[in-house]
Amino acid sequence: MRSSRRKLFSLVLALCLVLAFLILADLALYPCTFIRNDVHAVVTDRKDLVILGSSNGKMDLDPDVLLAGTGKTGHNLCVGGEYPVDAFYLTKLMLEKNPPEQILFELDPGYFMTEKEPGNNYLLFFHEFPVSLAKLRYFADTLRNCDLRSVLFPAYEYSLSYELPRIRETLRRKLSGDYSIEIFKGKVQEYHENGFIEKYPVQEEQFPAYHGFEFMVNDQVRRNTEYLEKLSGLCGKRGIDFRIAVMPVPQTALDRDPEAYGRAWSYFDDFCAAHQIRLYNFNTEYYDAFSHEAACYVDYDGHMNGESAEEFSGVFGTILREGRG
Amino acid sequence: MPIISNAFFLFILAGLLLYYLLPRKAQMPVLLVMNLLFYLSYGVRALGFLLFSICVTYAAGKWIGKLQSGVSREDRDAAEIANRKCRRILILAMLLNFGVLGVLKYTNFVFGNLNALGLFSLPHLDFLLPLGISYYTFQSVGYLLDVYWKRIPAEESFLRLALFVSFFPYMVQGPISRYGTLAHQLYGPHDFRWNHIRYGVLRILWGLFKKMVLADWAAVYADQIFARPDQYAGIAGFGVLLYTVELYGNFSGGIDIMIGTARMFGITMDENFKRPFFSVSVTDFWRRWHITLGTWMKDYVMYPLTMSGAMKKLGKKSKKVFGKKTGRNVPIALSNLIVFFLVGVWHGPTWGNIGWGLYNGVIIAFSIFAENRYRQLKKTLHINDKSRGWHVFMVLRTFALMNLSWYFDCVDSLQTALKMIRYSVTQFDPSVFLTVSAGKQGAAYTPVALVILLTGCVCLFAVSFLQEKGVDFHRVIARQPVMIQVTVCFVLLMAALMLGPMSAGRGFIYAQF
Amino acid sequence: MDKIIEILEDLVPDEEFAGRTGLVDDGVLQSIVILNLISELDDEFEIDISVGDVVPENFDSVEAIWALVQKYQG
Repeated sequence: MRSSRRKLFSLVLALCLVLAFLILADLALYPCTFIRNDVHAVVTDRKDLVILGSSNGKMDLDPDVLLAGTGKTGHNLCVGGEYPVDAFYLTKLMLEKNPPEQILFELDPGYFMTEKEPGNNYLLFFHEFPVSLAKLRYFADTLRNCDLRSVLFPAYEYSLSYELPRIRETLRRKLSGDYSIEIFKGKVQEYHENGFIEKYPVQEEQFPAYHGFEFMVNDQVRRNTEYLEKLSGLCGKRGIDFRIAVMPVPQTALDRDPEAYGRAWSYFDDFCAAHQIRLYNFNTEYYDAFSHEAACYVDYDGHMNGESAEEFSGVFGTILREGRG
Repeated sequence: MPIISNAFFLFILAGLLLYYLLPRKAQMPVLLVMNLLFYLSYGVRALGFLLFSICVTYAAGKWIGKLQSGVSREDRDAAEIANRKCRRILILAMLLNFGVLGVLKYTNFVFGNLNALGLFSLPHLDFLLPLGISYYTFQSVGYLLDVYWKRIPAEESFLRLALFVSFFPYMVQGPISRYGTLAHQLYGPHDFRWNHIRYGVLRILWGLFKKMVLADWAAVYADQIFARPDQYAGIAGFGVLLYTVELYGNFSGGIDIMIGTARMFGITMDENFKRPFFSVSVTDFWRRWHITLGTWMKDYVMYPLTMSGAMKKLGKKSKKVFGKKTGRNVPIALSNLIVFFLVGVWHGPTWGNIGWGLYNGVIIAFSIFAENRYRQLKKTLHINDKSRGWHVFMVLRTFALMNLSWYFDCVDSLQTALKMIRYSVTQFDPSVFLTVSAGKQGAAYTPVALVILLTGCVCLFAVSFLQEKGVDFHRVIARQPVMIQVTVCFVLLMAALMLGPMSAGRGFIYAQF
Repeated sequence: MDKIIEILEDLVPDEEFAGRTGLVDDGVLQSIVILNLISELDDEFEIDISVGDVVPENFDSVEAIWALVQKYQG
């Protein structure tokens, strides 16, 4: 009896050591991403406006300019790879911690044609979620079917050779709760405190090749549309003003795939009408509100350079205020 | 619920807690509920097919059992009538079981070939392929034949039979079990034993390592080499070796995880692999690779077919024509070809698979006839077939024969396969490896990935070699102090978590058969 | 019994059979040999072994094979 108790004790001790190692490995090797800052910002402070969506929203919308003169606060919570499912659980998290007054969803129709790749793209958000019911639900809905590295060793998605030399800095930031943003300043872009990413200008000759755009109503990944519906429903139920915006696309791209874009615009027109969501599309209704010239962008996907983004945010802010009457 | 997902391990953990904490009477219901949940996690619609199979198998088994027990041995006429009836029930039940499998899996293949003949224009149909359908169909039919041959009594309880047919650890990729060895273990009761848990954990971790590190890295390279044979001509030979690592790591790793899981519940499943790459002949290979499929085919196809009336007649005739020894082997070689045709078909409805099956069958059939000559030849050449050198030669020869067959398995056309074989012989330039991308990590990571892969393969070889020499790793580890046991587990776990490729987890090759 | 040993020695040279068990489990008698053996037994003893009896227990030793043959002869 005594020996089996001792065996159990050493087993528990050993398991604790393994667990401690895994936690330490995560602390030291999982990098401090800007999503860590974004999630921290919306969880700790109540914002009036939170912008959700893809990389286009991240680079085109500066919340401070958007809200200039209103005295309201905002945060840009967009990121490349943020699908409606992520936006939905980010909203759930905010509702649990610090609910915003208004949510603007930046919609990229391309996201509705592709399945979200499991693994890293969920972890990007999940890892930063504080302990909450939303985190648990997000897990049950997404990470559940990812391989067990996503829970036991989330750093697997990052290159060790890159993370090893930064261990001390990573640990220091995490342990001291340092959310300063200078580390996110790179050669082509700069992250701002309010979540906006400012892209440095790029000459059109240096644009990456245009990949083309496809949109077929029947080929959509249902899950994405379903979560957009759920998101809109959730906001409606909790009294949050929910709106959708489609960022301007460069004229070159619009001219290359007019049919596909046409199908996308009319589909989301109908979608928003059916769900009574206010839609701002800068390629149709508000086409003239902002330039579609390549000079404003850094690629044909429509990511704006910083200067244009500031200007565009100002224009969009005015429209938003007028729209509200 | 993918096998190496978070959900699967939480599912096992929760299952184990209930299994050992609830009263022992609840163990069987816990397993049944686990089977149901596991199956449901792959969709509701597939459940209907599984239930159909269970019902058919249960009813037919019980009916046959009743007819057989109802007649006394003395009454020959009654026995004959009962026997005929049993046979009819058996055939009907087998038709129903195989019918579902055949329709769902092979309709499009048959249609496609009929269309290719130009006689019809049949549509391509989208069938649902229920999880594990070929595994549970084989297991059910095996049970029915055993009842029919009076090797086992028919199962009286529906729930017990349902548990046997739906047992979740074999659903994804086997091993196919026999009622006689598995069933009584399922119905418990089982006491909690550290030994079982330790065995299970070690086996699962070893399986994870094989799958997540060896198989997944090998797949990253094999996929690229086979997709662009001309670009990577200099490493075409490595391509097929990598495919071997991928196939073995993936399949046997998955099996390790499932056998380990079952053992934690106190249930010992049949082994599916016995170091196949130490085989001395193709026949030997099939006794060590996918063992449970081979055994199933042997017991339920090879034996009945060879011993059937028609084959016996053929045997008698051929004995007259070819002499006793050769003639006796004619029906055996023929059944063997049919078995390997079926093995090929089982692997998927393509001509490539059928060709691959027949390739194995022909080699084995050839060796059946050549056996005596071969023995004489060895004597005349003074070859000592007990020597180590000869053994190594035979192992390498078999390895080469199996690898040769895989060229045809991993490309889509015969031409490409032949081209790759040609490249493997005529071109050799390992430096081409450095230009192959390591998936998300890019080509710069390739040297690291190859070192990981090579070290992993050396470990796998060393472990297999020692096992081949009779070392029982579990027993060796179990004798060490707890701290050392945990360290072994920890090292395996961290290797599996940290050393694999970044790409989102790949599936299991032998799933969805 | 001696006849059976004779047949076995002819089928698998260089193996010792008398008094040995585990013939199937140890891999001495493999499927092709077993089928050859059945064919020989059928001819030699004029019996007709049915497939239901082809289980490892019936072929694991010379005694077991002898018992099987006797079952059909009786």
